[in-house]
Amino acid sequence: VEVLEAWERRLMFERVLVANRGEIARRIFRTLRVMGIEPVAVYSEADRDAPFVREADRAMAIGPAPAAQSYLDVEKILAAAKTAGAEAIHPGYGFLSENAAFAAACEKAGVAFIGPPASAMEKLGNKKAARELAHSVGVPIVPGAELGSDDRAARDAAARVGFPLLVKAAAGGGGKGMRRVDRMEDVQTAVGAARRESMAAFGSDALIVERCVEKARHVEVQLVGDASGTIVPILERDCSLQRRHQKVVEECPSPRVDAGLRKKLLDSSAKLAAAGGYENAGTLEFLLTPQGELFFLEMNTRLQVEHPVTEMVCGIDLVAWQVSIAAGQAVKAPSIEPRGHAIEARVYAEDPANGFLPQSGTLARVRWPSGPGIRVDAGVESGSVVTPHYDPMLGKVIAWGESRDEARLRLAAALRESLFVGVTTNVPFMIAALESARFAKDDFHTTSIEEGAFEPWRPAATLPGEVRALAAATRPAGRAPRADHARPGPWDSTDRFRLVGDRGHG
Amino acid sequence: MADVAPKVLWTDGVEVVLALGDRIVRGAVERRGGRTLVHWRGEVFEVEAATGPSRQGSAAASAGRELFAPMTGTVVQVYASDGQPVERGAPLLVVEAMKMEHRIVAPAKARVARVHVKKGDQVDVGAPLVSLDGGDSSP
Repeated sequence: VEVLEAWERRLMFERVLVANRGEIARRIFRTLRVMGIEPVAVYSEADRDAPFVREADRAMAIGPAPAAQSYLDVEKILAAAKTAGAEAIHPGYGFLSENAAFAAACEKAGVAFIGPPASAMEKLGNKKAARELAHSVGVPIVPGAELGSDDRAARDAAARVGFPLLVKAAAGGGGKGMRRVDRMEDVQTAVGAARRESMAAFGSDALIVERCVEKARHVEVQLVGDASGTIVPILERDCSLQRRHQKVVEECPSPRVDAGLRKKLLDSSAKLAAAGGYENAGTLEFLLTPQGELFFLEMNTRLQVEHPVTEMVCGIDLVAWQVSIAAGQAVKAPSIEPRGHAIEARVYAEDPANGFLPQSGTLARVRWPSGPGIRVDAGVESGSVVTPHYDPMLGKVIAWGESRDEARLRLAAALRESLFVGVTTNVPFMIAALESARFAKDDFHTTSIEEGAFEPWRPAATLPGEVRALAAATRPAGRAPRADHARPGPWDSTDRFRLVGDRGHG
Repeated sequence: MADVAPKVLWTDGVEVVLALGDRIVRGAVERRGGRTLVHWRGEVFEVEAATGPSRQGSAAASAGRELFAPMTGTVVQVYASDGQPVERGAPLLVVEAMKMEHRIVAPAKARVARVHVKKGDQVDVGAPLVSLDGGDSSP
């Protein structure tokens, strides 16, 4: 056994560079340490003081704040890997994670890319190619078309697909470049904006249009595959609570998927991934219509933000699988026995009362929650600066429970325990959403937030006495009043509004 | 309970623990951009730092009358013009930052008092973009 273990260690990397930042860098470091691998961080000037930099065994500066000159700079990252002696690179999510040219450059430089081979990324990571492949293996797709380069062609394509429709970037995900269009008159404006965004984000202005399926749920399948061609579909997630086409709350399993539908989802996913020669961890996204139809949307050829809900329900470490697969090991296809339910809340520096617009600033105080069934993947601590340079996600709080309701209530209670002072976050909004009857009854779809089903804030008739007391006791100029001097003053005279929804099940 | 005088048990200038009679209240108070925000049980409440009745009157309008740049970026579209009445949710302008286009929309029915930027302007985070007035007074 000792000999075998030594042999396995020889096959495993000794040092891995994580080409990412924030919570996902820290989360990957943790798994690397468990595996006895030294984590190497790269950081831009803007992240010099970020917690993830301090937690690595080595940290390599890779340039100025703009991502194009640091986290997206292939040459700098490969040079850092070489200098640090890293044998492999984990790209995390975002940045270079879905960039086939980067994966190819790693292969060429003799550094293992912890993700799929460039060839599989090209087949499955590009929406257009993936849709065609899905269609060819009999996995249903949403009616759609490529968008012509001139406006007339765009209108023709729109007319063929039908309204309402979505304009999307052909090259990427994450909601970037995505626009909903309801009328022919708006096609031109939406196409222009989508092209600009797509060009800026992905260096390509190729677009596709797709029928917008209304009142749909977003269901996705996590799978892993190895170099031998083994594909293991694990379980689905449900990410239907979204704002601006981006996920805010995700859960596992989907409350809308029964055993029959699950088999169909997992089988379709495995079939499509196998057809694309997929390796490593990946996620296939589907729309589930109110009538129970499934349409394949796209594949994310990387680790996803919401992977922890699957890990908690299945008792697995997806990053460990990713690293092992990249080191050439086979997926051991353990018998996964899902148990209970997990829900994740993404904590963003953004203002729900103002169109969920990203916020930046210094977090004077941060408190993350803990407790039974609570997992926190955090990117910031007290004193951290949220810069406008990167995605404003501060971290994730994930709750596990025997039932969906237990997970939901644990998550809401955990968020009520958290504290973010200095920068506006979506935490109050998520508490209100999780405590709402609508969420409890699973009565929502991907556009419910935009449709106003979850209120970003509402006026409070009166401020709670506790809030007035806190304000009264902490008057400006640092004069903490003595108890015998505290009396109702201007601080508790004016009722304002809550920045968020009221508690309660209305 | 509201009539019981609060007693500060502990504070570090940000977080506060109070005794309200035999009740313990934990929270945090911050002053941000002239506003006082109270954090309590995961929620955030704005408390008016009223200096006199006149101030209260003007402060009774809903939030977001002055719309600021959420982050450093470029103004790529301007839909609003000075004096224009707008409905809640109406797009006012678009700021591109971090490769994303952010639509700045009217938080309530209002009138555009002034647009402070033009297409192509670079804006720093916190820069005023649009001033609104004359909206309905209930947020």
